Amino acid sequence: MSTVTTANTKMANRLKPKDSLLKYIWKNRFMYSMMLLPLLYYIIFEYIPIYGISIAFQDYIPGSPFIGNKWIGFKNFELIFSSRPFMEALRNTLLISFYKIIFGFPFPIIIALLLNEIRAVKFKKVVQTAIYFPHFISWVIVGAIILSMFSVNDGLFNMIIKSTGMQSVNIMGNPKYFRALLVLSSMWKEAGMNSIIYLAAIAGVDVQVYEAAIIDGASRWQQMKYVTLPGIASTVVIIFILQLGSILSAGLEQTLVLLNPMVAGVGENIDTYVYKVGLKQGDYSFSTAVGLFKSAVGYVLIMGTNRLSKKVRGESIF
Amino acid sequence: MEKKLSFFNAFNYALLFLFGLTALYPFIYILTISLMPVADYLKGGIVLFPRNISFEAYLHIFRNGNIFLSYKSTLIIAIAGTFTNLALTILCAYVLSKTKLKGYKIFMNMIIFTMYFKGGLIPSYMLMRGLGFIDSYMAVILTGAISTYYMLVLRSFFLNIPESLEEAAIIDGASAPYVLFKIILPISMPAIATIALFYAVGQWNSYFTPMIYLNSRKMWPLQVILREILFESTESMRTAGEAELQSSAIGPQLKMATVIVTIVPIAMVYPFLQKYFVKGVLIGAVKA
Repeated sequence: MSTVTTANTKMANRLKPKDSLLKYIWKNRFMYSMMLLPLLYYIIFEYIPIYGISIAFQDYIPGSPFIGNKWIGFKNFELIFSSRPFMEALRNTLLISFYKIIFGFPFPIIIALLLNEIRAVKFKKVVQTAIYFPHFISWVIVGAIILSMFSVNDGLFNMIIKSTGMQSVNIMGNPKYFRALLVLSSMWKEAGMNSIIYLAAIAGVDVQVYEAAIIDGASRWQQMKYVTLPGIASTVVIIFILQLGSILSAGLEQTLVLLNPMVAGVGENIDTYVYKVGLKQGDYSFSTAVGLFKSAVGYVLIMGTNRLSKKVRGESIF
Repeated sequence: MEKKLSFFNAFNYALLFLFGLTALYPFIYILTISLMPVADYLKGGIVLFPRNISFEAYLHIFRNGNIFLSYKSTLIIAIAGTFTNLALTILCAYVLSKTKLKGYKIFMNMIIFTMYFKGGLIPSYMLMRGLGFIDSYMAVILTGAISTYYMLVLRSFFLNIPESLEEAAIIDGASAPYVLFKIILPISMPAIATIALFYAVGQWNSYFTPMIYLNSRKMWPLQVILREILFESTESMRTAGEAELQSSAIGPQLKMATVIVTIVPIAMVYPFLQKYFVKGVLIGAVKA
């Protein structure tokens, strides 16, 4: 008994601010020194770049540091909104994200509902193993797959089309198909993995509700409609809201792999545009301003959507 | 009623089988191409599964030897990167699980803010250049060294460990690092292993970060080399003596063989570790 009390007081001494600050820090020196490296990481690699955003308001000369350049106020932002390529990238970003939500959002839910109806455990496991796998490969590899499937000359798809006597279709280089390619390839890669969370939500629905429904004579279709769907509704709403929050990210690595000059007009998004103008063309101030626009709007969106999802389930994300 | 049900069942099984096939078949097709003898390939025609097998493309890749250089790069980045990720994430998560520690709120707010607001690509690039990390693995390893999301997941795992476990050690006069390494870490192994897996896969697959920070070809990891082989035009490759990839008859097989060589490690561990990945998604989902 007495040892427990000592332990409690020791814990209390360690964690409760009672002494002077210095003494307190000395007492917890190990704790603080363990925080040192993580803290340095956040300060150097997260906060210094945030400070570096200031070059968006400067006439930055390449090669010089963040400080000591001429301040030009919001001139870069005036330039952004009168820049046709930027407006195009913004429009593409919004459209692609919109399509990804419209088509890509319901698909994992459907997969989860279908998987839930499968009684053969082995079959279910095999299907799950297969459909989760694409999540774990890089976009470069997905690009290779798309190439092997849709290349004009020797892609499988076009070889099949040609063998039926029709003209081959340039899926990767035609503005008409490119956005669909982005949406479908990200569905192919992520839908399986995204279904996990809905499967877990379905598993969390009370079995007794199903039992009651069965006693009332509900068919499996009715069980799904009146028990499963309402049971996972809040999960669905929260994931939907969270996706809305990242609508300005249309996929950097994906687009960078698949983008080519023929489809740049419909495929270029804000992230690839910042990369192109900033790192490839060296216009640091302008591209940082574009990046800041994205960060700022993104911040407002995420804060707004977080608040919304908090309302939905009565608690915040963290 | 019963009949309709079985119709739905058959349809459901068929549909999910189709989904599974769609997810996996492209890999089989790529394997097929990579194993196809040159003569067969030149003949054209649709080949869906490997029939005549030739390891020509693989022998070519290994004899050429460049692949080993990229493999080495990928391994350096994956191992050093994952180790850095884990060390920093564990330290940060452990300290932040002590909610009564003075300064806790400041640390927490400061860190969470960076989840929502970032400096962005150009300022980060300028920082790395200022630090002299361009063309150094340091830039690749330190970019995103702590994923705040995984850190918070691990932190919530630490928060669920009963305090009495630590108290017992503190009575014996154990220091905070001792408690972390000898008591907390051993019982957190499942959570840490899961997070390590996610980090490692991320490092293995990343190409944007190494692409912008590493200029010298010999440092390029597999993903960056692969992207160039598959998508860039021949100019830079001619100088590197890899034009054969584009022009020679064995080109397509070489490309696909390189793809296979790149995904083999992931494909080998994936079936065994799948349950950890799933668990990882779910631990995260409870929080998010």
